[in-house]
Amino acid sequence: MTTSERTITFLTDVQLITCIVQSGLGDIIVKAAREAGAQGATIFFARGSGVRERLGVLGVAVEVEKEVVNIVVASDQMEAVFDHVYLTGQLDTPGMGFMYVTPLEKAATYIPKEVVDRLEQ
Amino acid sequence: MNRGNRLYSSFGGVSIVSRHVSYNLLSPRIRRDIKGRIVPYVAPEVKLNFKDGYRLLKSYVANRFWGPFKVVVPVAVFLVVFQSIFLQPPVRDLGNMALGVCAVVVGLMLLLEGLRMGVSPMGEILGNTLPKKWPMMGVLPVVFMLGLGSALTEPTWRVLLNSGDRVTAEATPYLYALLHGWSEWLILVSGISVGLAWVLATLQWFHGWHLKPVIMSAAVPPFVLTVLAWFFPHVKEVAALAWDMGALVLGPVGMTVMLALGRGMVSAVGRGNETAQGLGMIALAAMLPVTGVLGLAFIMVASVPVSSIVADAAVIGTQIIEPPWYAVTPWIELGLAVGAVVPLMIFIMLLFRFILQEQVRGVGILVYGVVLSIPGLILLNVGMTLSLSYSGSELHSWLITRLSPAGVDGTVSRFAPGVEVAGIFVLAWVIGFAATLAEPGLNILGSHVERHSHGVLRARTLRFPVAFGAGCSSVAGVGILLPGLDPVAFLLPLWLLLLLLTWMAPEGWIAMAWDSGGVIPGPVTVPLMLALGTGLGGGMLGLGLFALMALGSILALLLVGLWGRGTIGWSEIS
Repeated sequence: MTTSERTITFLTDVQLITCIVQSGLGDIIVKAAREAGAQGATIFFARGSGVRERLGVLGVAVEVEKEVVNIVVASDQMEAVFDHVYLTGQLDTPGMGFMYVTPLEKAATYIPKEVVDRLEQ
Repeated sequence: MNRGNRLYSSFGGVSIVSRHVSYNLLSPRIRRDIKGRIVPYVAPEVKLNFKDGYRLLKSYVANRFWGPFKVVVPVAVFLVVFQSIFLQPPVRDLGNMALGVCAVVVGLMLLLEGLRMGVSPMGEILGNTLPKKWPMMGVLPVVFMLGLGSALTEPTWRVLLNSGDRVTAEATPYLYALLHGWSEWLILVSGISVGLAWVLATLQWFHGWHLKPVIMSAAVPPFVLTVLAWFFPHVKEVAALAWDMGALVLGPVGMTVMLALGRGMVSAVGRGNETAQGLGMIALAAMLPVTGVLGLAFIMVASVPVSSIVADAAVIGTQIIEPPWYAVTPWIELGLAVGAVVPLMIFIMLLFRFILQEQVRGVGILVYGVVLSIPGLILLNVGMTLSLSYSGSELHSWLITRLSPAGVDGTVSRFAPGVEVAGIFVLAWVIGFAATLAEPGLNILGSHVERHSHGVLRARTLRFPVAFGAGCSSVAGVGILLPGLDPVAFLLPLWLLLLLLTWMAPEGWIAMAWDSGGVIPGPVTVPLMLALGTGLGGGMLGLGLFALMALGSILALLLVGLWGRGTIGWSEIS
């Protein structure tokens, strides 16, 4: 009886960029991240509070509902993606959102065999 | 302070500087009292300087402006191009048209924001509070009143009554009577039907009944009554009106309140079957009025003789009625818009204040929303009138001279008749598609779906098939009206097909599909389609076109649901 062999290729040097923006703007963030070389993103819906409650009347201009965009990037490209997302998403405007980077221990996903083979040579 | 400057090349011509600041320096000092407990920290208000305030407002407005803009402006450009190609006197009053289009875009923006910020949360809070405070027997009359009120104040279907002066008492006596002397009855019966639909909907939200049997059993009476009407020629002449009434009676304000009420009640009662999160019941509010109006027609035919209607019409016909000042643009739009929002909201507010004795938090923002939706509706309706009053009536007279054999006035067309007919079909598709895309009700429904599928079903997943279906069915409608066929004859087989597909499709999709049919012929679609339909329809007035559009969109969405089963199945999500 033969047991089939499966391998897990672990990725190191990965970092997670999380960007929280007002609902409806998540797609802009994903697009910016892809432009800067990120390969994928996950969006989920959330509700948040922050500067909105302190803006007084102007608070109506900030959406309560948020989209949280998770982007996993290689540590080398982190800076580029981070900056591009920040600038494209206009996070330097009050109420537009918040973003941060988390270091990740390791990651794994499907990696095409050719790519793995090429790297192992 | 850890501070390292780094100069970036540039971003869009702006040089970027980076610096690092410790968050410790920014977070507030927390004080403790004698017992070591934290004294709650209250963040001071943020005072924005002019530039930041401007940027905040700019992005707020821009994010809401481009949506309507991208839909409305292309279709306006298309209309102008179409008219300058086909119509003998090309478009006049481009200035008015441009002004109207601007008003429509801004109006849609304000209305959508108002519905989202004010009307919808109020409905949701009411739906959430009411069943907690009152027993069922107290909730149902309130819901009935809300439904009735929303239908009576809905401005959209009034255009059906306005088109009544093209009907003659001799040709179609009962249609004439319903649009003139009996119009109060028409309105009342439709309103009561909507109220009953809201009551039924409340029961569904409470008991978590399965949607399939509810929707399918509500879909039977309109079908049976219409088939019966085939044997009574006088009832048959009213059938198209009844179906259109169903499609139009719930406008953007009414459907927003209903959807929000459902969402609130479902979350308050928290029964197991929350598949559709209050969806699926807008369809009821469309089907019951069809049944009601057809029932009214049967009663009329049985009790009022044709001769008395014709005699009454002869009396009315001799009077020339000068419209009073409040019945002309823009006052009529103003009155209808205020009427569509204010009484309903006052009713809800009074409920809170005096009956539920509940304090509503964040009243300011609710009022802001409600206040915003009023100029929104006004601008939208005035804009539609303004941009269509010229192009629409020219289009209308062009359609009549080109198409009806009786109306040929001797002018020679630049095109072969086939080209013109093809042009009309393209026009019908574009109008059906784009107007539906711009429809505020569909936008509200789309964001509801998006929110409750946690973003898995995007609003556009809903809007594009619906608009596509509406476009196709408006083409079909033109194809039916051109040779002078009765649209109702085509509604019936379509209805059967819908029931079959409904039986096969998953629950969540049914709810969405049928609801979209209930919301789409709204304030944007109706004036445009009316310009098209009355031009084509001759004696039939183009009645039935709205119902056809609604059914077409339901069909499209059901097909998408069946095709996408497994890949984007709603059932997996909830």
